[in-house]
Amino acid sequence: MDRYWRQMWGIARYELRMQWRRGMLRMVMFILPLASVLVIFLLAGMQAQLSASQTQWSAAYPAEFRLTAMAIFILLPAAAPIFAALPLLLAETIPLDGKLNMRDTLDSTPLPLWVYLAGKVLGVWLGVLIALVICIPVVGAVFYWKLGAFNVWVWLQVWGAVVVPSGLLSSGMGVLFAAAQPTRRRAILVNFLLIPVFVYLYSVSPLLQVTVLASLAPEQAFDLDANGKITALRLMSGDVMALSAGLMVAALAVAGLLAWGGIRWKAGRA
Amino acid sequence: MIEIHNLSKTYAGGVQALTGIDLKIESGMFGLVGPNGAGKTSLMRILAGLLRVSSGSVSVFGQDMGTAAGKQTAKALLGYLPQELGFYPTLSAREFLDYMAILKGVTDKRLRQTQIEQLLEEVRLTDVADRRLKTFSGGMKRRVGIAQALLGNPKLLIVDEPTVGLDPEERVRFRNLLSGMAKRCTVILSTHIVEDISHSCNDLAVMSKGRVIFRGAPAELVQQARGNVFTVLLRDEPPDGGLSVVSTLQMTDGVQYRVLGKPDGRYEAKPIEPSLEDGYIWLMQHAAQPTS
Ligand SMILES: Nc1ncnc2c1ncn2[C@@H]1O[C@H](COP(=O)(O)OP(=O)(O)OP(=O)(O)O)[C@@H](O)[C@H]1O
Ligand SMILES: [Mg+2]
Repeated sequence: MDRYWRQMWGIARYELRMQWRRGMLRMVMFILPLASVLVIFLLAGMQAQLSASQTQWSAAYPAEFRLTAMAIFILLPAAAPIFAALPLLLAETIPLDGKLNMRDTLDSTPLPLWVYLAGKVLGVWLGVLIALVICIPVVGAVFYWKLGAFNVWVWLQVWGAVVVPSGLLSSGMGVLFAAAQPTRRRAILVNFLLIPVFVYLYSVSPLLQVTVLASLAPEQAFDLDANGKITALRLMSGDVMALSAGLMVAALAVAGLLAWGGIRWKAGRA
Repeated sequence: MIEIHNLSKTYAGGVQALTGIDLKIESGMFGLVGPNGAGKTSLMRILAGLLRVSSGSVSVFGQDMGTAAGKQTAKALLGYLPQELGFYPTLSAREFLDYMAILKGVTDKRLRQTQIEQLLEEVRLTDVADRRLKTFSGGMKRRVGIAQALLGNPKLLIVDEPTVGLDPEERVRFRNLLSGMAKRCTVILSTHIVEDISHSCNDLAVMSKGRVIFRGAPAELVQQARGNVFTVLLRDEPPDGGLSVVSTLQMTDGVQYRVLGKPDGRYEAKPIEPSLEDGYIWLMQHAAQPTS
């Protein structure tokens, strides 16, 4: 087991390095904040109009409360297109090894296929995590500037519970789903099929439903102290988190099995 | 030890690449020669556990290569240099070797570094070890491939046309490196260059059209052509009459041809000692007739 773990970690480390040098990671790092900032600008304009027409609604709540609900509401549509783009950007991860003629060399080592797949996914995840960590302060600063002083702690909780896991889900599935494709072009095409899968997954994900609800019915969303200040995001209960995590793991497991079976099947056919 | 029993391989497209191969390979250096498409690569990929057999059995150090567990165990003892080399262009030679060593299970970092430095030295790439592989020449890449195959002290080394693209000096160096390895492990080498084999192998097989048509020591292959190799000196026309020319040499008074066959009275032919290459060509020309 120790050897498998070291092989996996070795693949992940070098995958990260190669993604960076190929420019893929830099692209993800660049696109992620850029896309979200663009969407924020679009939505913030709409949101300003919306809240102006809802002065009653707004007036009923303290400013921090309103702004935080708004920041969460904008964050989700801002993140969604990025998560649709990640599988397309990362589709080539495993087919590239075939294109570079590395398959035989890799298969001549005592490296189980599942360790290889897990290592590749882990490497991509490290890259996406780094990109997201860079993304957070950039998007946060733009929010602060466009909206005003929202509750950063609660907002970070939404990142941690919804946005980051969604990024890991779509990048991991993007890598695995296209794993058995022979060319980069086919890999990207196949991953277009993932977009409706994500739309479905996100729409049934209890965490996402709860977060959307939080922004529509903010009075149910937050724990408040005696002075009306937000202390926590109430709706992210343990049950909801567990259900969402289960859904995510199941989706990744299905994609992993598809990758494993696809590669096995191709090798057996020769 | 490697035992191959009645092995056949038919590719999905219907090409029968191997037919009824029976081979026993002991430790030392084993050479595999044969024309393009003879099935050398197919056989080596089967031995490396990369290709499934269609029928027959293969065992490598007692591991049945028909089972997943057997393959896994055998691969831990294997070093493989594919005919079509693969690389990660953005990694340096040192990084690439580090990556491969980790996959081969050399998990101790110290040990890995010592091995890599030693191998870089042996294939003479120490000076360029930190350059990205995409900047390497064809021969340099092949040397990285050779170093990669030697990582982790394999018990079985399978090298598919390793000397392609190496300059003469590197080729000699590589032959010596392999000879050194062959003292400790089993080396299976395929090549088109008969000379590679005559210098280092104690045992060889000649393949043609998916079959083994000769198996024995290099001296026995040479023996095949004995009495059939001549030189003839001609002024203009090349020789005909069922003779095949192996090589030519420009002389002041004409062209000296080295021929295989039985020259008739028209030619002033001098019998000479056959070489391994003569034996090989003689064998290929008479492959239709059963040998040994
Ligand atoms: N993946 C494949 N699919 C279908 N046929 C194949 C495949 N690989 C090889 N073949 C066929 O199998 C036969 C043997 O090929 P192989 O590559 O083993 O020959 P070889 O002796 O290594 O030749 P060379 O000296 O050119 O490398 C050839 O007829 C070839 O066309
Ligand atoms: Mg070949």
